[in-house]
Amino acid sequence: MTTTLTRPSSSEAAPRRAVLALARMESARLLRHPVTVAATLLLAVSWVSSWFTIATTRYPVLQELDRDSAMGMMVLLGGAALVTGNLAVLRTHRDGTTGLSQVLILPDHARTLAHLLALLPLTAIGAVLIAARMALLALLAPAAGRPDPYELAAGPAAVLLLGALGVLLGRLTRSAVAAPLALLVLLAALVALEPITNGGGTALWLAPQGGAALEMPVPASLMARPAGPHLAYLLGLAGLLATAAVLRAGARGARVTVAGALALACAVAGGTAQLSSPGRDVAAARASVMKHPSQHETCRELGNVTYCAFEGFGAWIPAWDTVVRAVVARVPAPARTARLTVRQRIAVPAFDSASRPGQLLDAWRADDAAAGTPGAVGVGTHWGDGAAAADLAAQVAYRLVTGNRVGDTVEASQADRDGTVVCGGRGVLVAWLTGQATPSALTGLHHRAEESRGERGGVSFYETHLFPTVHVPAPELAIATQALSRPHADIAARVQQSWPTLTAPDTTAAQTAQLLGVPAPATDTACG
Amino acid sequence: MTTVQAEGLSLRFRRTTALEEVSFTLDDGVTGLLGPNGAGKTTLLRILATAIPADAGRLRILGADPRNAAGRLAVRRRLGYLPQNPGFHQHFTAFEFVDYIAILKEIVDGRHDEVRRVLHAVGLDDQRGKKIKALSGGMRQRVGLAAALLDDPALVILDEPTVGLDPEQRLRFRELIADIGEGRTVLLSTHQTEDVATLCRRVIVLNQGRIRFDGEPSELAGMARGRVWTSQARAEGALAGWRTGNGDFHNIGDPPPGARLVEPSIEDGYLTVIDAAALAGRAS
Repeated sequence: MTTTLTRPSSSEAAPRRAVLALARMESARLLRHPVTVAATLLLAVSWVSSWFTIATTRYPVLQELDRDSAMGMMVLLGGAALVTGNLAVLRTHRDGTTGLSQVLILPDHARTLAHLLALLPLTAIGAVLIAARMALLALLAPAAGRPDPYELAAGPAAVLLLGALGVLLGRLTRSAVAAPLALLVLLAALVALEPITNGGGTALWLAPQGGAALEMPVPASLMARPAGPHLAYLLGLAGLLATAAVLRAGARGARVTVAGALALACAVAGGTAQLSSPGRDVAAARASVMKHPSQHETCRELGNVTYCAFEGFGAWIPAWDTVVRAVVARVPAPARTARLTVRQRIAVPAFDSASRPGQLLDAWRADDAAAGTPGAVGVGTHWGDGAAAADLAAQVAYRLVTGNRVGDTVEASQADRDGTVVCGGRGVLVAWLTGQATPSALTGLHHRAEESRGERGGVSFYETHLFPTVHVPAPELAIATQALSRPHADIAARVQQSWPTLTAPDTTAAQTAQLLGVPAPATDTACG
Repeated sequence: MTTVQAEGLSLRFRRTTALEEVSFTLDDGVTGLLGPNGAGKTTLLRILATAIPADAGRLRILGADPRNAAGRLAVRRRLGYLPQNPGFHQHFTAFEFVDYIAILKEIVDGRHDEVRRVLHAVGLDDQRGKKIKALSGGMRQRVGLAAALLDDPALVILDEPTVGLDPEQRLRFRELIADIGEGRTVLLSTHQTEDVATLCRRVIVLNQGRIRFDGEPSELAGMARGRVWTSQARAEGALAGWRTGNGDFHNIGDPPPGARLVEPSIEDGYLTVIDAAALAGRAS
């Protein structure tokens, strides 16, 4: 007589429920693993600290920060998923429980599936973190633009992808070194690929982090990054790795085949679509926005200043106005006759390779004239750091001191190298008005001077990052710096009293120093 | 009630014969498996636990044939197995570890209740929240035993569970195994003849891959009847002999005429059935 199985065998659903139970358990362990906790904290700390250490974070451009956030998430949370997912798969081997584990019921491929499912909560936490960052920035700061949901989702998708890679590596090799090594290789590739493909290369899209950032923020409508196809590509790759992992663990059958085929189709379709160039409409829109910004902006008047900003950047106008008013306030009332217009501009060579700086200046003059705002002062799409504030203050000061438009006194062929050189009393005034505008502008003045030190000295200011528009030579800057270190009220009074002399084209730097009561420089400027 | 029917099981690892023509049956109750190191005990247990297949022979466990996948699955559903070196996930608590094994055994309904039940059965109620790395060796073995008892298995295979335990822990473990043996089949591999004497109603002695004895413990002891004697000096012809606590020598072998024969123990019987070469090796 043989003892037979007296209990009914488990229900059909038992394996599926066991997989889900195992996934829940593995997920809880993965989330509280020290590597995951450390990576999450590091990510949060890096985001919070950027608020305090990177001034531009307080004036975020959300369509730029979405990629930045996704990158940080990929490196930290993705790295954690890769390592911890791999360690979880190797646990049986590492702890020597293979003897027991191999006679338990749940098959290896089901356990592998559970390890893959266990990555989902970490992925979801990544999505919540990235959404929370965007929401907080939008609430706490005068944020510009809007994030791309697909770009944001690329971060959590990369977490899933790297986690699946960790699980697959665990099924391919029992070495616990493989996953950290793979992470190092990925990071090295990330660092190496970025400069190679910088400036519009498409190959970087094949890497998890996606294409390189543009040289400067642009309106969201011009981004035209293939974030959707890239997301599909990442998810397809994650699906392929997951399929390979369960196949390696012994899974067979139609479901696996279908899942693998879907993942492959997703990866190929997304991968192909992301490599295609933006359409002609996008290219035309980009060129138009770059050369004819007035046609794409909304303007707002504050006092007697008109501010024109691209869609989504209107929140920065009060900050611009603070700087502009601080410059205007130091100008005697009779000299404030010109109506000021501050116009936002972009200069991205990749958008129109035919645009040289001189051509762009001409295009902007024509655009201003057509818009009825000749001599508009330009401002870029970065804000929050001192350099941006100094640049705007300098453009406004130049306009008020000289009455000229930026680029008026310089040949187009020189524009990309020199900008407009402002000499004598005018140069001193431009630099002083810039530095006294706000503490941030003073910091920016020093920063810009430091940048110019290794080149021709003095200080150069920019409308956009592409080329300098105003340059103050070293002797004039030295006098302005001296004046900025003196009591502000005294210098401001002297400026008011001597305004006509100081703004006269033939007033020299030495005469200006005398008028302001500061020591004259050892050498006078050579420019005329 | 026969739980295991093995006929002519053989297994070779390259040139080494691990098992050769092993045949036996197992019924309810605790059966001891004795044998020296390398005798093939662990190999036999791993075959019964469906971890490895035999090269030849016929095996039915709980009415299922473990050579095919469905049979293996059926066996595993009713099997409790504590390997020789089970290994533990040190960062798990006792509860988490047993719960983890429960999931891998596809226990889904009332899983946590079942985990609590088996931990209670092995006396680990108060320790279930402790990390395994903080538990003593005896407690870890009990955690392993608890995992083996999940889902009330019909066949429990224990591979040297008392190795490394101190006397008190070993005593506790014996009590547990005695309880487990009620109403189910337990195969206990051990080096400890005392374990067999106190726990088993049947014992199988394995040596060099072959079964050398299969019967009741008293019958194993009986194998040495008339071959065990005491003397005041080391007996020349004894295959094994050692000085006992009272100063006399305890000898096993062919006794000389007039020798003072004594009642043999299971250990004497075990040593007797082991081949002469092995015995001589131990004696030296």
